[in-house]
Amino acid sequence: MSTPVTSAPLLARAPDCPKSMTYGPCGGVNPDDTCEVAPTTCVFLRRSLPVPWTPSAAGGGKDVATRAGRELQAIARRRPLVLTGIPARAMSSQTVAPTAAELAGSVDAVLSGDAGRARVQFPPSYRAALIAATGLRVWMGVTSRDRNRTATDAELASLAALGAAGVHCVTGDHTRTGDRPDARPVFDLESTTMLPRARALGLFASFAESPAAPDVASRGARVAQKQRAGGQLCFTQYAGDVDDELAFVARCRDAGATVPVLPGVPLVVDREGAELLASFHAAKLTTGFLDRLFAARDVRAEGVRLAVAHGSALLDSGEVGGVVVAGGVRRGHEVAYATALATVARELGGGS
Amino acid sequence: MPGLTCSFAAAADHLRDLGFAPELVSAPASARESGDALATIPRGAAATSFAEAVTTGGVITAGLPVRSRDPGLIAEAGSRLSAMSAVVTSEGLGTTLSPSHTALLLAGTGATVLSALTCRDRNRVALEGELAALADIGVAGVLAVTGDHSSSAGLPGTSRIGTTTATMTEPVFDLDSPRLAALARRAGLFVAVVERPAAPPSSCRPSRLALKASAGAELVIVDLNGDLADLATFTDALAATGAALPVLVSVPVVTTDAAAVHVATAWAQLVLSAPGVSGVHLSALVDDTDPTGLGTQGLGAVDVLVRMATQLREHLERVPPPPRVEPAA
Ligand code: SF4
Repeated sequence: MSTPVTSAPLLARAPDCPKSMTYGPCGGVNPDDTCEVAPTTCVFLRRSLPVPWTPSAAGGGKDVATRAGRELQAIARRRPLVLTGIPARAMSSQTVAPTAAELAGSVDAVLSGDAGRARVQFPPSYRAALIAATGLRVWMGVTSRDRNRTATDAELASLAALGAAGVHCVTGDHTRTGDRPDARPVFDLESTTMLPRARALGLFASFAESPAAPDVASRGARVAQKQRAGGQLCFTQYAGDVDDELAFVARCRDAGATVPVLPGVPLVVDREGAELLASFHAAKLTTGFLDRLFAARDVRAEGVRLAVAHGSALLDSGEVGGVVVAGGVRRGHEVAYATALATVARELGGGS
Repeated sequence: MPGLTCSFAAAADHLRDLGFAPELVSAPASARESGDALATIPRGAAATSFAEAVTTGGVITAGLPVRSRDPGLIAEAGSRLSAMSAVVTSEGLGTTLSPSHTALLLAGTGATVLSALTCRDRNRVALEGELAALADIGVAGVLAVTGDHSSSAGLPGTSRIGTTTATMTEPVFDLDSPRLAALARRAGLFVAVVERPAAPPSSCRPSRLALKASAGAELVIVDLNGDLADLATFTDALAATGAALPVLVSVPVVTTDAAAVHVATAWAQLVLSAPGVSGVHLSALVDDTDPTGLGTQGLGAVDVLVRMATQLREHLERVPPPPRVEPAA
């Protein structure tokens, strides 16, 4: 079998973008239009947006080939998908099984994504192997920050061989954010150029979008371009209130994007988790979310209640393809947090 | 790399004085507070027993001669190669599964695994994550390769005849192989490195190896392009550095050619009896255009290497390996 090598994009990388992106702007643009990692205006905001995706010579377009991926497709045909994060500690294989045991039967799949506080993580394929061994369907995040296309292709090939339900292709935060600014930023690929490579391997492929990041008006059209590149689901960064999220879905539809949108639903069960969530780059939380949590006598119960209410409002709208429930977890409380995730997921119809 | 000068060539004197500071791979202060760095991991059982085998001598390793994304095929190869002192994977040829997935498959069959990692394809945080996974899987160690040339990246496993790996991949090189070696030691892994003494500037190669040894390398697989006299020149020069790493001599084998296999086996026997040599590394040369099915798509090359190793072990029973020359105190 030959490697599905897609040709280099015909469009040029933006020379002044710290992530040397072609299909920006990334989700890290600050509300004042400045770059995620530089005090200057994001270079893409001076261009006509969206940057149109340039079809590559090969790859793309294969049907979903993994069993777990096909099972999710079947679920998605009858009801919205309910995914959650998996709060296993980074670099700890022992915390995978106990957290997975809490989630089993309540979630359709778990998303194991990039963590702002843990640049050093087991590689995606090893995390997927650990999670798949518990019997959960795994939707694995792959970032273009740390590996070039050769290493990324090997990770994707292993995810396909391991039977991952899907792969979340993200550009990733710059290394200058987080605790490891000493690491070299790679960004050989980006979300848009990783998608066709994942699709060529028969992986169900999702991508991220930040509805609240500038340029807000063209974010829906950017989703349409990522769909053209091969993206099949859009997971959104926390974007504020339900109305804001539904407005984003409407912008996607106006731009011709038909991919299901799965907004992120934040779940927090303690103050530390709330503070961690508030620190996420590009996260915009529901109005009054933190105030209500901090005012509650039982923070955990209030956190679960808010997440269920938020998720239900989204699903009841009929406009979204599902939800991804996740949030900040206190170290050492991973299993209890998984229990709360499972409660929310079940309430929202997951695992049924 | 032909046509290019080693950047150390002009600075061989400087190189000879250059030590290696472990601080060069220590995480920044921000990560020391948050713990976002590869932890110091105690040496595992597989690493310990492979280190003992290297001390004993008569080591026979094999490059994994299967280039496939079929997990079943990798596992079958691992199972057939489990009698080797170690199976050494390769990296960066573009048609492989991930290093951790490959290691998981091989280690699952009971094989002793040395996982190749190149510095070309990942930045330091990704390499730290790979090393943590390999330690978690329980592999014996890593082959820390800079990966600056496609043939040296391919050396431990398969080299390719007939095609070149066209890649437009962005070279990363956040770390080099001495730094990767130091990181791998932090993960408790045994560390092997590669050297090509025939590559210019050949005089600085033993110094480069001393540098890698001070960084943490414990074994060198030598891609020797020469005869026993060249080998002796190299091992003598290495011994003179005072950091005499155990040496495995890479023996390339065209597995599809019976006569070539015979010649390679005879050469491996000679090498095993040479002073200053701890063993051989069998490396299948695979012709991608080979229509016989004995190439990397199947298990033919695996079986050839296994038969060679059996013959070499029989040879070692008759002619025990020479005692290894210990580095001067
Ligand atoms: S905000 Fe993102 S896309 Fe814009 S210049 Fe900065 S890194 Fe590049």
